[in-house]
Amino acid sequence: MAIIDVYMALTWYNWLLSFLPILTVFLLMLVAKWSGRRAAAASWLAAVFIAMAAFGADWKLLAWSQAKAFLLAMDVLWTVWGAITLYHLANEAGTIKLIGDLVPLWMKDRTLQILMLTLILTSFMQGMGGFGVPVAIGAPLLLSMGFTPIDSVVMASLGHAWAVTFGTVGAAFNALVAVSGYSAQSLAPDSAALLGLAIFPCAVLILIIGQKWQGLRHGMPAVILLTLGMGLTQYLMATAGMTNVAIFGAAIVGTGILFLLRRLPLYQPKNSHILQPPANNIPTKLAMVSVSPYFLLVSLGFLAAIIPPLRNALASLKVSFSFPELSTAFGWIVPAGPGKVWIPLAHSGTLSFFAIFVGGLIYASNGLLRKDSPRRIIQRSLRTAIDPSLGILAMVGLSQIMSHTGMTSILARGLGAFFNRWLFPAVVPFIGTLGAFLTGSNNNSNVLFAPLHVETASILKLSVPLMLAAQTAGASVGSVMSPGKVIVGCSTIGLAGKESGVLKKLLVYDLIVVLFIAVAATVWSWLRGA
Amino acid sequence: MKPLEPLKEKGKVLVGSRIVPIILLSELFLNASLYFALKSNHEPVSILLVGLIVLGYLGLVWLP
Repeated sequence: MAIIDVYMALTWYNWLLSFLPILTVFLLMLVAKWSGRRAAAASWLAAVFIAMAAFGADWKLLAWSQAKAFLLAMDVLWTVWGAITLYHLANEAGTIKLIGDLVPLWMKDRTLQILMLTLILTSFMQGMGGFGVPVAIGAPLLLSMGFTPIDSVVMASLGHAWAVTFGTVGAAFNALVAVSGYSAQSLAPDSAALLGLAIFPCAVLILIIGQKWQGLRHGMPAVILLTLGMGLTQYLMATAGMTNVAIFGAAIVGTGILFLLRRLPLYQPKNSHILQPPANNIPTKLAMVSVSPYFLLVSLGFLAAIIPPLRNALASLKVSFSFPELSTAFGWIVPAGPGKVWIPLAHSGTLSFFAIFVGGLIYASNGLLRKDSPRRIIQRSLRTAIDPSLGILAMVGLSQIMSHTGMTSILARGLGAFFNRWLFPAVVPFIGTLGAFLTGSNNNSNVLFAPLHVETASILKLSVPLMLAAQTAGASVGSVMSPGKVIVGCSTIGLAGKESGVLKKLLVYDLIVVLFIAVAATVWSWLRGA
Repeated sequence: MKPLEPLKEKGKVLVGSRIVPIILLSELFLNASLYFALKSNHEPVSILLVGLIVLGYLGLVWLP
């Protein structure tokens, strides 16, 4: 969004007032322990009050900003709803459990098993849906290998910390694109590269927790190959327009790498602690049918990206709405222009629902669903979707109120004045982490902070795509230690009510990964600046 | 004698579990309608919709 005005002065008073809605989210969640949905609603109300009382907004400006926010929110929600429903369909058909059962049949070496259950399995689950489910599934399997409950949750959390932005069918990345005003093509390369690099510290820390330094030495060749293979696959798929399935691609390539590695003499089983194998072997047909909705989703995304006529046909239907010029009483002007352009047929949410429909028919014809399954899937999906939907709606509304009244610009100018262009790239990932930790989602952190980083980076003459990449990478890693996700992760291994132990340990390891991202973003920014 | 506060909270949770989905549907509908009301310059309707959106968010804050 191009905003013209420069009348509002950068003072401590104005900066603190602009920061107040964001501070409200943090305080309500961290101190008052409110849910994300409730804190977001309260912060939205605070933003409305501050905008009208101190930034010269009238009801009409707020109304138009909400109309614009609704279109942005629907773009994000359509993806989130598709991802949630797809997960519940797979869970109903037993696919989630089946994937867990397949691992011990495939890997014998303990180090490779750990990498398979953490880096690959949890990332694949994150590609399907996220919402704490990757840990809820991965942690019990790690527990069965003999790890402590806390270590199991921490390792499973780190395993997919790099995969959240392009996971959940690309929902968090879509949110970044929607609120920043930058195209997916311009944001994908830096975001995919930074998140790909983050695979390395995640894998190293997992092996240090699981097998100490000896295990890390044994697993280092695998860690390096997985980082290169999965990171490169994610990069290539994301930059080719397949942002919604890039994690699936990375997980598939990662599985292939582990399959090749298990044949090496280094990884032949000597002292492996083999997981409890399932009672019966899993028929190949059952495995193929079970993963069919995900196969469809990946294939559709892939075909739409590589076949131009198909891509053009899907993109032929476009929906856009026009918005008038808006201004506050203090002369802050938002120019007239179109809001978010919708391409419904090529939208990742639409592709998810198509995969759900066809995959559901395949499940049903193979007897994996019961008569009452559709009702149960819809009920569970609705129940899961309510709170995140309200949280996203309020957060997007909050960020639009702040943009339309100049609050975001004042915050950005303040940060620009406080940090110089050499230090700011190191701060951005930590802002993303903080947002994700408190709001419980990579999505919400991007919605809240992306407009701020766009403006600050422009003021400091830094690369906006790189700063947004640092934001979403920090948020991706930070989201796995958000209390909401930790609670879900602890729920399946008897740690309910003892989440603080997990949080303390996860916080240390997670911040090491964020520090790695901060250093990478800073060096990269310096090199570009040079 | 049972403490009153927890009972009140319990009641709010029960009410919340039923009302929150209704608030979500209402917010989606009200926000969707707002663009068209603003575009066709129906000021009273737009003000009413904004008021209802604010009421919805107030409801979310009140419910635990």
